[in-house]
Amino acid sequence: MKLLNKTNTYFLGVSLIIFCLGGILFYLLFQIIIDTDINNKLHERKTYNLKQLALSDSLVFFQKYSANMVSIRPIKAVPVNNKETISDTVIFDDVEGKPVHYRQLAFAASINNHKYFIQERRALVEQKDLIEGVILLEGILFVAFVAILTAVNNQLSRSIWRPFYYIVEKISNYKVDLAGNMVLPKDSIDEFNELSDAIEKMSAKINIEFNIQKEFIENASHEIQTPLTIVSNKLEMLLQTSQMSDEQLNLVNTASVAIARLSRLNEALLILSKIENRQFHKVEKVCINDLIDHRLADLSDLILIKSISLQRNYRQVLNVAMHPYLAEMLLENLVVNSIKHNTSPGTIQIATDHHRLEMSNTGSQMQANAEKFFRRFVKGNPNSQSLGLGLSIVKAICETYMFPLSYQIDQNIHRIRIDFLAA
Amino acid sequence: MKVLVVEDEQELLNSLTSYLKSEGYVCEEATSLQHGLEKISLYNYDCILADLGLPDGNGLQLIEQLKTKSSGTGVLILSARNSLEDKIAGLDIGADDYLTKPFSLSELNARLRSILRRRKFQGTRIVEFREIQVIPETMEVFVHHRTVPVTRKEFDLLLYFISNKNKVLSKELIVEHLWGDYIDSADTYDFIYAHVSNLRKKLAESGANDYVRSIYGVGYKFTDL
Repeated sequence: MKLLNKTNTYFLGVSLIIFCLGGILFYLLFQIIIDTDINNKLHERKTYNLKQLALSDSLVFFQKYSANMVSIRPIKAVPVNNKETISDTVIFDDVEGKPVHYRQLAFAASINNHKYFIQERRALVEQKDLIEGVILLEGILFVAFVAILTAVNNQLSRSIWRPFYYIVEKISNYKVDLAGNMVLPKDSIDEFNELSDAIEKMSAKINIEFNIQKEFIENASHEIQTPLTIVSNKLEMLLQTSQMSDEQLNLVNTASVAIARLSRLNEALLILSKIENRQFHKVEKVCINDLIDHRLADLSDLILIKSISLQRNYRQVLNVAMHPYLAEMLLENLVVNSIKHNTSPGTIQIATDHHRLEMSNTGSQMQANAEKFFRRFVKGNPNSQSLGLGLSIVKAICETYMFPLSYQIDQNIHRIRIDFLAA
Repeated sequence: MKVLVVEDEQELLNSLTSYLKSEGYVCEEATSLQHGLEKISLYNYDCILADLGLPDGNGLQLIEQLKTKSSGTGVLILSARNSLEDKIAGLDIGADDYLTKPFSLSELNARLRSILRRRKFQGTRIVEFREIQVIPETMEVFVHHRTVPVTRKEFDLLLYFISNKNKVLSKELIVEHLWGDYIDSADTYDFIYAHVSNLRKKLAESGANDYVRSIYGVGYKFTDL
């Protein structure tokens, strides 16, 4: 939920209460005003009618008024404690055809020695009508209020919150690389400026740390290669010396196998860190199909020995703009994996269209979540001599170009799919 | 054959020179770029093994210097950097091949022989081992002058064996030579076994002696001793 919506919800809740209370007060106020007004009107009528009676002494004048409005009847004597009384009454209205609430002012008067008992009446506003009116009015106001509030808030979120969304976008697209420190624009709102400053400082710190680490990894890897070469060469020479017993040969060989493994590991990690550091900038058009075919041709005897049946379904030729070395490495890892982890006999199916590559191969049956093989050093078979870095490299390359990559295991079919178009 | 090794790491230089000498090369050493450039200007070599990362400069300068002499000297680059740019730059200015550290001596030997064959004999040289004849240029194998049909990898394997005759070649080294280092050796030992036995069978059927010795747990040795 957006911050604005959150505050708006509270705001609307409170205003709903205020509107309800307002409605009640509104109603009471109306009631009082109408009451006072009717009483005044009745008194005005009283004054006027008394004047008329004084002038004409006849009741004919009043016949034009509805009997509901005024009723005058002669009486013998004015009661001793003559007082006007105001009361509410219900009279059946012929015109409306239903009982109607009236307020009546009753009094006795003596005019020109004639004595009258007079009842002045005024129809009251129906309570139901009044409540309905108030609710309707309040409703219209509330709807208008909400509409205006929403419009204003939308405008606010677009203008005042703009720098905030800009910062969020910048952070989510932030990549630690040679691009340098993040620079965010300054705004008139202090809070956002504080946020920008903090993020800029953080990104600068990350960049420094990142570069130190990058240099360290590269230097360490290069420095390691030379001693490794010396050790492996010396072991190789030792292997050639005569009068070595089988046991000795085996010891030397085991050592050199381990050295070779160490050196491959070192190289793979170096390449991984280079890819992740975005050190491959050149972009060329490469034909994925050609790369696959070359690699398959190079490994054709392995495919033959393992009795793997190969099906290529190139619906369309797949051309991609990327670094040629990375493209080569990507497909090398995929093809080698599909052979290495295949069963014997087994199958490999490769399909391409103009933006997608799908490779599936038979392999060991496993329940594991396939995506975990993208992590470093995760292997299907822990006893395997494999480094467990092949798919990490594949993933790192795909991430560099933001190619969506998926890996699924369905029974014993391992399927990798790369979508090149989204780049 | 006269070879110059330019390498600043003393121990590595020792390994390289003693190995090359044991292979019958006449071997000279240089430990810096300056030293290497001097030697090149004074003497002629059949091949130069040049490290790129020298303390006083880039080994690529050696290749540029060589070009001005228009000699038939081959160049094999040795580098600790496995970067494509370096590789392309080296091959572009005229190096014959490129080896990334760590490399094995038998691989170096095979590459060096290949360079020398191309440079000195315009690639038409026939490599002979007793009754077996191998023509690298056309990838043909003859036994007693009769052709033996071999696959590409079997050919590579045979040439590698002959180039490194009388040497113990571990399965590790053979895998690396045949498929490069991107395929892990342990997974491919069976493939090596299949290739070696196919090659042995084909050579035997053509009437050649079996020169391949299995060395239990390690690998093979191609020898007539």
